[in-house]
Amino acid sequence: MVNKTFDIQQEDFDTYKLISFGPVDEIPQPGQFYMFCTDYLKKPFSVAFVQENDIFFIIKKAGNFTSNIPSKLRIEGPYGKPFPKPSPNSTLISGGAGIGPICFLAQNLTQSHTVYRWFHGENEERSLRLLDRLPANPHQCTVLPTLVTDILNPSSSPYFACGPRAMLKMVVNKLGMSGFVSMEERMACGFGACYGCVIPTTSGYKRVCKEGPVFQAGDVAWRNL
Amino acid sequence: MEKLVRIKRLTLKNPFIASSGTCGYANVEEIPLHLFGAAVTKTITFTPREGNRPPRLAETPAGLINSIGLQNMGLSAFKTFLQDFVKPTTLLVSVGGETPEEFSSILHELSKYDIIDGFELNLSCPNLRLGGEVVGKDYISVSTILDACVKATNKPILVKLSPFTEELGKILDYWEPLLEGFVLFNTFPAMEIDLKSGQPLLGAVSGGLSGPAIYPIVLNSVYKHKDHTIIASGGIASPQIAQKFILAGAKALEIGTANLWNPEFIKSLVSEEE
Repeated sequence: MVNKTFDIQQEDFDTYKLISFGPVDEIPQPGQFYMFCTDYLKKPFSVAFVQENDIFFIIKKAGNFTSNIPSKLRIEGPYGKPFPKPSPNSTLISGGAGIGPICFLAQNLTQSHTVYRWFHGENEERSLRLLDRLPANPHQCTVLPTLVTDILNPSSSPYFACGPRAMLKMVVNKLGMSGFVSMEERMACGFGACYGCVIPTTSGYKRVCKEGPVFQAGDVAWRNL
Repeated sequence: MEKLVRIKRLTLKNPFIASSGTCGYANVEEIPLHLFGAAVTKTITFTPREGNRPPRLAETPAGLINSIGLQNMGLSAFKTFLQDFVKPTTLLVSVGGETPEEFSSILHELSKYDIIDGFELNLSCPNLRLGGEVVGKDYISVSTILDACVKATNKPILVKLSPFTEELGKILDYWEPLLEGFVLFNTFPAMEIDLKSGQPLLGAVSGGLSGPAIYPIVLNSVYKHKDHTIIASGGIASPQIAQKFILAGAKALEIGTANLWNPEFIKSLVSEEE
């Protein structure tokens, strides 16, 4: 685990930023996240890919923090439970800023020559500019008004998804519970101490940072979300 | 040099105490709890509590609003947990409840455990209400609970109060000889509104504000009541703020939100002491 200040590299891609730091000794696994810490604030970001022991994140410019990321940040991590290793022919589904952890999964599958299909949905065309910079690419992309769930075919293969909650709910409705989802929630610590980042599951509230962020789709209490 | 601190019957190897709710059941491995003088567990209630509906956190300038709602495993599971627990430092168990009987039964049951060095009574969680009122609102409501508690255990007792406790001076005067000390304060009742939805951001609507935003207010109270045995709690997020509370007369300091923001924050205090 690291807990130290790094220089932060930033590349601008219209609606997104590609952020990186490194090098690190311990390589994280797909689904895991790091906390970006300022004096009185910390925010979780899932790893999007790894290149030569540098860790990359895809960050949507959404608020004060994401629009003004400092050039030096204290970083903690990696934290959280990763995705299980996908079997061949798995379906990968991402929406918007949820592209990060799915990209990392795709990078690992590509490197291990495992066959997969990746579907990605965006709100606007210009957000797709980022894709050329990534080490793995979606096989099919949609832009509103088409939803990524419009192009998914129900199948028996397991799926791995990350994106807005509305999207994840539609994925679960269409493909059923035989998949894994990476969930998002505001966090105060990132390592399980505060119980602030819980989501409802079929066995009570569970911490996104510790029991997650990756959950079996069937374990999430979707109706209570 | 880490300074030994004596708070009546409690001896701590240094004045720094990890706050309840920021170090799990004093078992969070990411925080070097062995460097603290003591660690306070999450508040234990008689039956397990599921806690408040999320979202439970809101960001504020120089602070944090939480509404965890005392999510905890309950007394029975906690007793099982204690069986093979190796404590990292002096262990204080935070106890909460909605009636004096609930407090006293938990203290009575847990007093049998040698591993526990003392209790911190949570009379101040802004997320816990009894008939719509904060538990421990004034002299009468605090005293009703403390009466039951001092009879239920021989172990040291600290009481953590709300910043809005009425008749605070009267409570401190009366209970000083009967308790180990007073923790000033728990979080300040607070809320946030989500501009996108126009609705309260927290699932429970309101929560408690912690972090350096509140430290000058707490400092004011600690200084005012420095003739009592006060453990300061509220926004101690730098060695400088810690030093101010010691100068104001606090006997020990609770570190909370700073542990969440940086699990190794304690290292800056312990080296500061050297």
